[in-house]
Amino acid sequence: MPADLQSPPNRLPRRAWIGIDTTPSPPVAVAAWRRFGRVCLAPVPLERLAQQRPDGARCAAAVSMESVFTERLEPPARTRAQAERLAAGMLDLRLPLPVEQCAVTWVPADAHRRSTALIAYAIDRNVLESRLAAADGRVDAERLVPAAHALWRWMTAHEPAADDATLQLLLHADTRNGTLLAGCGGHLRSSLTVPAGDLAAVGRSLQVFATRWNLPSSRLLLCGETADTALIEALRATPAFARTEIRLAADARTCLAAALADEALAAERAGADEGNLRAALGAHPAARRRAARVQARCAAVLLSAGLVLAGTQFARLRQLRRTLARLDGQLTQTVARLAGGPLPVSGAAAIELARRELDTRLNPEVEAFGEPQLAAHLPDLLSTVALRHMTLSSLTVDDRRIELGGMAGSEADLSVLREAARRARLAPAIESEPTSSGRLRFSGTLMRQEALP
Amino acid sequence: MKGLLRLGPTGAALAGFLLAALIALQLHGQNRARQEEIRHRQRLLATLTPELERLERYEAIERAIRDALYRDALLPALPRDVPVPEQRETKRLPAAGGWRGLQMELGWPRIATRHALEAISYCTTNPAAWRLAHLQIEALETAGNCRLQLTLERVEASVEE
Repeated sequence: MPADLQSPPNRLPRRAWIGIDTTPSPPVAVAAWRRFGRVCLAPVPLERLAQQRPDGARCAAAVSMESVFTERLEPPARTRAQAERLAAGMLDLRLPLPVEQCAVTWVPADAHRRSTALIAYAIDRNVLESRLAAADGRVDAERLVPAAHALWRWMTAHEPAADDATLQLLLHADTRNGTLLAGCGGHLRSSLTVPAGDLAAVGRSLQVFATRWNLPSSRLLLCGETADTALIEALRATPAFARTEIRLAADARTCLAAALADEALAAERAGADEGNLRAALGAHPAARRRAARVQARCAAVLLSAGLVLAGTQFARLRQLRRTLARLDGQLTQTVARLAGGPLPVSGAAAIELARRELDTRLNPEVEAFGEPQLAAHLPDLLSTVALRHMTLSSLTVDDRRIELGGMAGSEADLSVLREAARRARLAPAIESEPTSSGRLRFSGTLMRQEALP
Repeated sequence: MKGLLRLGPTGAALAGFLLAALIALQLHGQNRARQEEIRHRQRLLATLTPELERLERYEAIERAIRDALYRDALLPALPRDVPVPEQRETKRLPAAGGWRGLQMELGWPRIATRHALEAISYCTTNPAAWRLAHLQIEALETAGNCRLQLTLERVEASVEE
């Protein structure tokens, strides 16, 4: 819901829309912008408007309704796009001139878009162009909106319909003529232009609408340059308005300008040319510039994204190449170190060759010095033999195995010997046989575990 | 492409983006191949780790042997209690990698077991430049006596070095 008017700011926000009502003299301008999701409105002095928006960018002006055809159409459609396609044909039947000759804008009849009913505002292109030409010297507004659309939208936002049984009327009165809007349940049904000060015509229209739509009560909202308490009193004195609730809009003089600014702000958020009759004549230069900027931004984003994508992959490729080169160098270095010098081959063949070279150039006697001697385990094994009263007849030790033979008292003694061998990380393989003396003759091998096949 | 260019700067940018995306896709394929190569190289390098460790061990032994050679290059002198071996033979092994093995075989056909164990103990622990490569002890029927054979080994720098 639009906010009340604020005091004019020193500098208009860049994204503010300015509604210009040219019916009063001098014209009235109101700016609308969003701050933290809330709509702000402020009057704009005309000199500041000329300074800050000389080209009419983000400005909205009203098209007076005396030359605009307003038709409510209810095409049998499911979607808005389909409704617009069907409604064009329906509109052509109703208009007194070919629809191709008109600038048309479509607006949903239901503000909440619950139905596909549309209101078409159409104006002869020649008339619109002549009006644009007549406005030479004034601000060339980017949006040209039918006054009825902006005013009705404004009224339904300010005073939502309480029920469907009340006739809603809005009279925008200025010095030349008045625009009378009629509807119910928040839906605009009719738009009439009445001569200025012809209250009888307004009264007749009220009676016609109330009778046609069978509405027992009515409410009338007044706005515009000449809407004041005197007009209210004059209306109340008219018998046709005896049962009508008549009220004067707050900020009645700036009402249309504020309605235009608020409508433009909402249309921008919707991202469409909805309600803009000027769109049919081609885009305003400011809109074209804005569209070009958006296009350029999109193009820049797309190009940047492409460059980033390709650049990232290229950088990764370079990094991988460096890593591969480093690994290759490391491999060559390692192979050369193993082989004791550079090799004429590379890759897996070089590794095989380096292994063979290593085997050739390493002296086995020197390597044997690095291996733990099996004889170092002898004290432990001999202690076990002595403790269990075993006797050894032979003992042979080399680099890989210990071979021993002798006599043992029992199988338990041999088990202890095996366990001692395992503790020394030797794999025992001991066989025994009983002798006539009752003792066991044993022989076996304690093999270094690393030497096992 | 012409259809895209007809769309104006956005179309041209879209064409550029598509081109860049194609290039990126191509590069991505190359990257995957490179990554596979890198993993292959890393696996190759990993397979060489045992050989490298073996070489490092070998070089450490070489350094230790060199020190020991210069400090104690003489033949090991057995303890005074141990009788002089009746068999004594020195062999020179084939040279490899700048080193030549030198083996000394000591044999006692009959030695008191006590002295034999003393000799074994001495040869296992004392001579720095020598290592006990082979030991064979065999009890004789005469109690307290045995047959003993010891093979001591050392290396020396070969003449070619």
